[in-house]
Amino acid sequence: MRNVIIVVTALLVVASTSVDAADTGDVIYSVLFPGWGQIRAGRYGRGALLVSAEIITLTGLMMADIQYDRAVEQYDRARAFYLNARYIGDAHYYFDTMNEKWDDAENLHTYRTILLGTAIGVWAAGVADMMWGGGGDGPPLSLDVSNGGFIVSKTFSF
Amino acid sequence: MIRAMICVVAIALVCFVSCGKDHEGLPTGFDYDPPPTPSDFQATAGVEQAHLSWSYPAESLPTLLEFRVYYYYSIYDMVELVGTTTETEFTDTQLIGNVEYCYRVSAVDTSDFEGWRTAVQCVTVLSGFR
Repeated sequence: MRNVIIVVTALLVVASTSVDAADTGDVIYSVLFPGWGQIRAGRYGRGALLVSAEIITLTGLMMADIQYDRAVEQYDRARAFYLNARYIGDAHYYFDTMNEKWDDAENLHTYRTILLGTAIGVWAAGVADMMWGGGGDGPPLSLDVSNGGFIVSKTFSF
Repeated sequence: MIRAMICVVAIALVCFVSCGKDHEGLPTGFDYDPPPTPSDFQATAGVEQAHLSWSYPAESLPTLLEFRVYYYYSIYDMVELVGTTTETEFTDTQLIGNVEYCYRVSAVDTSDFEGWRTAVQCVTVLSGFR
């Protein structure tokens, strides 16, 4: 977890020192939520991809966090029962339960760290894309005249 | 403006990481040393009573507080305390004839910690009506 914080801090420092060169209006929205700035800039495909990735990752992170807290509570409860057991059968039962919940908490902690890192990565990618990803897209709508008619085309940029 | 927002996001992340629950720590291992289980447990039927007997290692008697005698209900897989004794025998009285009673016994040491219970012994009590 400490490594994740260090990486995020480094990314934030880099981002905050070079943000002046970017289009600040859309970058603000991209900082608020990954993909928002891209959508505002007309890069719908990339924006939708970032928004979807962030929502999925944050949902998974929230669920892993809730389950981790629950596993820790169950572990603490089993540990208290184990330490206060007055019968060897209860002691064995709560010792096994305690070990099982410990393993659950360890696994969920790993998942939570991975998902947190992914969410931060998506967010950083969104911000970096707004600042350095280039925005040279054409107009979102174009009108072409062909044989006896018009073609209105919508441009999606990824 | 953007720098402030980035700082807010960073603070939120650090709070999320640091405000989570932590393990209290796993005990190093199973460290209970229970008293030995009574052996040779037997139940014999009497008239409206059941007589229970068992044996116990002599070297463990100094740390023995008492024996606990339980009814065992197989359909619930539960026990109910009948009584306690410091002897290696016990008589359960005022029972109903022609009814099966199941028993388990355990030893409790002077630290009030109870060891494993014996296997179940069942007995059908004799009726007082002939």
